[in-house]
Amino acid sequence: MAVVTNTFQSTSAVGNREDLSDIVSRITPQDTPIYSMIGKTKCSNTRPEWEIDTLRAPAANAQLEGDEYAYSAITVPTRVSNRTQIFREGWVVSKTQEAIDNAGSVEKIAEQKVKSAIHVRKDIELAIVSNTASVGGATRVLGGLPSWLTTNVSRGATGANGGYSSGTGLTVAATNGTQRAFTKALLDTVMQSGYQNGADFSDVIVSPYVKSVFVTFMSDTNVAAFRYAADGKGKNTIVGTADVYEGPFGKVLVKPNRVMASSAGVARNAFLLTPDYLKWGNLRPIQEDPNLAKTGDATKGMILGEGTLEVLNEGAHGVVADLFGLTAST
Amino acid sequence: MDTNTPEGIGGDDSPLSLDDAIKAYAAGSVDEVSDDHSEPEEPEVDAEAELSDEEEEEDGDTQAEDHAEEGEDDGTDETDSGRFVSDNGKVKLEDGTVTTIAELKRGNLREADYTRKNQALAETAKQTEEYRANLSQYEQQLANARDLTLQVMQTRMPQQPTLDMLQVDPLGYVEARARYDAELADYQRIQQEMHQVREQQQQLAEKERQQQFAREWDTLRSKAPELNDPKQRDSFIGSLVSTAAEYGISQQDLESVPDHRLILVLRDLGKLKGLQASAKTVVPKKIADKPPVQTGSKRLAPNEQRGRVAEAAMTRLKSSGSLKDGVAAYLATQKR
Repeated sequence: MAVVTNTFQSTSAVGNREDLSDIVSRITPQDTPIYSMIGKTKCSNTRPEWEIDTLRAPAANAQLEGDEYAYSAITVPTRVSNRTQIFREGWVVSKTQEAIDNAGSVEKIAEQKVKSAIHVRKDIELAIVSNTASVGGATRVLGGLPSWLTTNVSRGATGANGGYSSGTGLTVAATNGTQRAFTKALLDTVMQSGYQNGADFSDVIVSPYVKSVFVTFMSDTNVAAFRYAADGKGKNTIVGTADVYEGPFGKVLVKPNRVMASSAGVARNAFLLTPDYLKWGNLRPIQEDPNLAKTGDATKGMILGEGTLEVLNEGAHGVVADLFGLTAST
Repeated sequence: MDTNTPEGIGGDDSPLSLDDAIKAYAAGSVDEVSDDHSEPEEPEVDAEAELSDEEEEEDGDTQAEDHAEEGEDDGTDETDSGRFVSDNGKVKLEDGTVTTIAELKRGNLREADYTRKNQALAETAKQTEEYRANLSQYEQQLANARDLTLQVMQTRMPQQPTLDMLQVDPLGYVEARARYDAELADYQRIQQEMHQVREQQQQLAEKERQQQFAREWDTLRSKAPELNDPKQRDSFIGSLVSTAAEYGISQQDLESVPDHRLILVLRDLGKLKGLQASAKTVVPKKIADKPPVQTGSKRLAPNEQRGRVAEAAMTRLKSSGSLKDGVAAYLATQKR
């Protein structure tokens, strides 16, 4: 192997500085599957906007010979927006603690910073999966993913969609319906809806309990049982899990999200995602406030980040809402 | 008395006046004094002998026993100047060997004789060399004198009488002819002697040259043992000639060098050049199939080194995703 002389290698690049958010996003990415999976972009203000373009529905198209051309009216793309939300996490380590800790103080403080940043990241994940309407003003709140979804949805009784309101420029939280158990039929329904609306679901993000329910789909009479050969030589395994669902309308990867186990409010939804149509817009990436005043006999730090969820097209995603997300009855 | 005062002058312990000192110096007393100094052992031996006599008288048998260890009692001789050990007395030398007085005497005599003869031989050789130098000088003077004589004779040589003179003055011709022949004979005789002398000188010079060459050759063989082997000798001479040829020294020039040191210098020079030549061929062969040495263009600057460390930490984090590696990566990137 040889490198051409004067090749500029990344190892020589002094300017390729990794910021804290880059590092934090790589630590235990399975903790925050949606935040880790979706792309990152930059936004320049507290209300980033983007357009949702749609294709016309197919129609009969047979024209007369020598006919004069006719022009269709251009449908103006829908313009949507979300609000940035400020996340922060402070930490403080007493000087005594720094002195008596086995690890070096530098490492200890760095660990505090990184852990705080991970906490912020998990908070962002929670904000993504929460059914919260977007709020403008000084204490801005981003509209969570459930508040956007109106197309490919399956809701319990009395449940209602939220959605983006062009009038207010804000999203409205969905109305919770009666909870029910997660079933293969519900999943198939939403996948069919998405398929018909042009979505290509690749990932299903569920609460851990819902993942366990998903595993029981293998007992469904319409599902082919999968078997492994036990040759009697090696160690044999009882297989009690399944990660991929190959339904009538495509193949999806079912991932549990431990952030969604934090409350019944976020555990009740199972999201079907097309990651390309979901982005996290950073106004301020997860970073440390460098200009913190030194007070008291302690070392303090503040990790903060500001950004919002950009649902590039809500029709690319789907939700099976109002599920028992924590237990069989909650 | 001052310790530096010569004993021969102040030996009677009486102060010496300046006049006495001058007289003594003029009479050669100083020489005697210096002679006394050059041979101080003899009086000391006498003194010891006398002392031993006195002690023997006082101590009696004790001293007698001591003497008996050195030599047998019946082997001692009494003389006017003291007591001597007989020739068959034994002594132990420093190296532990035991020898007899007679052997020591003989050894002493042999050594003295050897030294004396050596000195005489060296003196003779020196005289011979001086004589030879003088002789060669005389020979040169003589040769010069002969040359001069020949030149003078040549200028004063009478003209050979012509045949015309024979017809005009037969007697004069005969006389002139006789005188001319006599002069010519003398001239030729001296010329022949000169020739002989020159030949002798040349022979002598040639002989000397050969002797010197033989001496140098012997020395050279002792310092260059490879010359004793005929095969090595040929290669030795071959390399010598080729080395000399590189510097424009012909073989004839080389043969006329009667100095083994220059030959050794040439030999070592040839070896050195051979090593240099082999280094050019052997070293490339050694590294022929080896990958090129990655010397790197330059040492990485400190910030580049930190960048490399940070890059490695990030790579580790990407593969593991652990908090520990994340902290390490964060620390590494902060150091950039």
